Amino acid sequence: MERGEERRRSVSEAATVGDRSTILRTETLTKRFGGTTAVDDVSLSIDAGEFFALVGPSGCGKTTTLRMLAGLERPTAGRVEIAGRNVAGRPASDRDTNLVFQDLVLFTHMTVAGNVAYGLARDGVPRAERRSRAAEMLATVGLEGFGDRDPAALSGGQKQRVALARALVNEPAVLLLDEPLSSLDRKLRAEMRAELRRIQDDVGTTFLYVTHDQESAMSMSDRVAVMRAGRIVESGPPESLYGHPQTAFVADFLGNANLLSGRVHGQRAGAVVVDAAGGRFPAAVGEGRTPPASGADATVMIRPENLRLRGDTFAGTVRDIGYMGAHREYAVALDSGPTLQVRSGDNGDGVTVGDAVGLGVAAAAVVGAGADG
Amino acid sequence: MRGSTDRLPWPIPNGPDQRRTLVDVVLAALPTALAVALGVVPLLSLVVESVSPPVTLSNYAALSESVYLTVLVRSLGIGVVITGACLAIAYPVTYWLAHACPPRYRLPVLVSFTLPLWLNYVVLNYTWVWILATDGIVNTVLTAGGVVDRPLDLLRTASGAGIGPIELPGPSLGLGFVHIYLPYVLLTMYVSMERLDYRQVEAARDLGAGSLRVFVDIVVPETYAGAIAGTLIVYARIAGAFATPQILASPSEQMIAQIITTQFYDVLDYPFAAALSVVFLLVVVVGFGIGALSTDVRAELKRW
Amino acid sequence: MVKTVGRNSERSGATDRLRRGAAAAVRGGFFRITVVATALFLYLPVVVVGYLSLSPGSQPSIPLDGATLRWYVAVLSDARFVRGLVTSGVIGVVAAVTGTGLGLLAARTIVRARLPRWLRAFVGVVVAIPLFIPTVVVALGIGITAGQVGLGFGLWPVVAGHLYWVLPFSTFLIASRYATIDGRMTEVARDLGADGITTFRTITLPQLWPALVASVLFAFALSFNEFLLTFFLAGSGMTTMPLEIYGKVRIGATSFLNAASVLVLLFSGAVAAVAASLEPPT
Repeated sequence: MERGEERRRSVSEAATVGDRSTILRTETLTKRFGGTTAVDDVSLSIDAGEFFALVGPSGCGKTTTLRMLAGLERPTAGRVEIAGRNVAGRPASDRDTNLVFQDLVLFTHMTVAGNVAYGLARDGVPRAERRSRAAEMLATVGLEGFGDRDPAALSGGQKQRVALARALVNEPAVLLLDEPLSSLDRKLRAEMRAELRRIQDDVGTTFLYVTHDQESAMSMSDRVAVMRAGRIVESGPPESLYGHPQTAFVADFLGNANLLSGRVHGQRAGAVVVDAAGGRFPAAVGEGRTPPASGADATVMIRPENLRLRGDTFAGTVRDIGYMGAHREYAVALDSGPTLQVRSGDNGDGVTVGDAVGLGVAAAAVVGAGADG
Repeated sequence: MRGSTDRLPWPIPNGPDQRRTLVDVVLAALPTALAVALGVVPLLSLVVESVSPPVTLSNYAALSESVYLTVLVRSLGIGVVITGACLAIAYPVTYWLAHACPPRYRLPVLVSFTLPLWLNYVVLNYTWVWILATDGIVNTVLTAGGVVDRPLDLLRTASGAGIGPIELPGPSLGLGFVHIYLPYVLLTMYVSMERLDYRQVEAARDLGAGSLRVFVDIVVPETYAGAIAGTLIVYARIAGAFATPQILASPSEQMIAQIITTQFYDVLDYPFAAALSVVFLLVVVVGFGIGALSTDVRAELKRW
Repeated sequence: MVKTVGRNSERSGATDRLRRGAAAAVRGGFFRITVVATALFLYLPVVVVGYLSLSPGSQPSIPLDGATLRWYVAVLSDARFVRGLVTSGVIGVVAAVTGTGLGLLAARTIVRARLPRWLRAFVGVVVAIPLFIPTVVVALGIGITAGQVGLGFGLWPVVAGHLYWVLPFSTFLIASRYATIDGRMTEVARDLGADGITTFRTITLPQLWPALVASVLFAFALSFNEFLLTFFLAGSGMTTMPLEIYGKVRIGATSFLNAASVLVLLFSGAVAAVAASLEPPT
């Protein structure tokens, strides 16, 4: 009982006393295991109600970060502020976060309702209220009437929903999700992504979603942070990260990217004109960033879907065609040397391997243009 | 290494983790204290007792009398023979149970084969008296059927046969031992057999291997470590058995536990009983050592 | 066996198939005979004693000339034997319950405790001593130590000895179940606000329950039937069921003893069977 009240009070305090909209903030969060640094100086700030994704290749430290936020791993140093309170040294039972585990880890010796009501019981909620709130939460996640089932008898998607309901029911300030969709097949995963979004809109809880799957991260989140080797490389809205990455790593990690080195030829509004791989084309700089000076070296990114098999920016020869169903992927070796990936939904190209083609650039972006002005 | 922890801002002390470790230590201490008080301390006091009064090796010197050596060698030999017999039975039985038995019968059969583990071994030994006595079941059937003229001496008779220093136990002693210890061997062998990947056997069959070849090339190499680990325990039990030889052995088949018990119970020579025990224990430990030389066997023992 | 032949038949010629079929049949027969013979070997002696316990006379003659339950009545009205039975039962309950409690602590230490590996291994080895060391050595050691510390012989040394004797069985039975519990469940519970004790009560204990009950039953059966330790530690002031039976076996085989044996076997067998149904072997 006491803890529940304290928890609610701390949330309201945060709304008034703390930073107006920040619900979770870390500063210089660091974790070392022996001599290796798993998480290195991570500073994050997540707004209340946000759907935030932390994405990176496996072993980049994202799960360790999440476990430190949950209180299951002790940071070596740093601050973790949740709803305005520094909880860095506090155990998991004493912080206002709940974690949905990668393998869900449902309590197999309890019913579905028993699982969902578990956190309420720990908060000292009376039995009758536990039952009604658990039923309500099950309805929210689309499992109305499943309360008496045995978790082992549920399908993969249903288990996901139970794990979600169990973690949401006692209204945590932040819900932490550790790749909960990774065990689902492709189709179900897409379905659950939409469901996660809907549920998040429904309950309004802040979601911090950790994954190595950039597609999941971008499709669901308001903001994405990309992690590499224990550090956060870049963060921002998915469109901005995908369209205007500041590093080659992020450009490549978030999707297929043709990266070319070139030289700035001249300036335009919000863009520069670049000479690269024997072609001259405009490349966007990105909002709020300083364009590189004329004559400077620059790395340019062109997404495969932004290259056309018609045009005269580049000239080359088709080396390979991959049929992907909805589109085709071409490997085009430029006369100037590099090979570019081109994606085209146009089935009537009539282009075959060995054909000489001209390529047009629909959109390109300068990578790492003068970070943040 | 990137510089020490204390130079990072907001270092976090190891508070709750240390408290959890303390709880773990306290909880571990209770069973460990009991085991040390009743296991380690008695073994040490046996050693102390065996060199008393004050400090003497005379108890060990007395051991060199040939009668004690004979009994020790006999006990170890019987341990080897019975363990071998149990293994010979357990191999086909557990192989069938793990790989040929219809799955729904597997557990009931295994349970019924291992149930005698929890029964009274004095009683189980006693049942053989009625089977093998001169007026017991076997002799009644044999004489009634005209197979023999006079009842056979099966109960408490030495076999008189042997291989080198190893004596073969008489019929009642042998059967009584196998009856009690076979369930242990069946249980441990079953665990190994279950882990044997049956597809290996199928692959060997498919390549034209006969039953014997499959057994020698696949089954034994895949299961021997588990077999040895399991039988080491049984071996020590058999060599140190007291009740079974008391009930089923001929007077000429005395075993080491009987002598130790007599020294303790009737002669009241504790130091000599202790010296006998220490020597016997050392021999058994050396046996374990030889068995555990193989890393496979060590891994199996760790599983226990 | 049939399965194997069927598969091979696609590949081999007719003669080969016949030869292998015959081999498989012989193989199947050999295994089945061994299994049936083993079952008979284990249980036939018990059946024989059960049959002989119905003898009208105190010395059964084969075949029996009639059947009666009078020896069962005699056993259950024999004051000394019943006293031994009750003593064994009480010792068994104390050893089983305490042993299971300590076994739970030892199992937790071996499987889950956040202690150095060598320390957990040490606990495992110390607890396992009575499994590997000949019982007569353990019994003599405890007997001599009890004398040295002034405990002498009697009930307390017997209880302590039995407790130690059942500890490894309880520990390893519970440990094998403990190891199957997903360790992350306790993390989930902590994350949802449970402290250490609550986590144990609501997550670990309910899942260990069958193993704990099985451990109590198995440990009871072990202690109830244990003879050698008691023989060394009891002294002259007390008696237990196995001591009583052993004493009578030394005097000679009788119908009384047969009936007592059947009762003891049935009781222990029932306890162990219930335990095995809760926590199957292996």
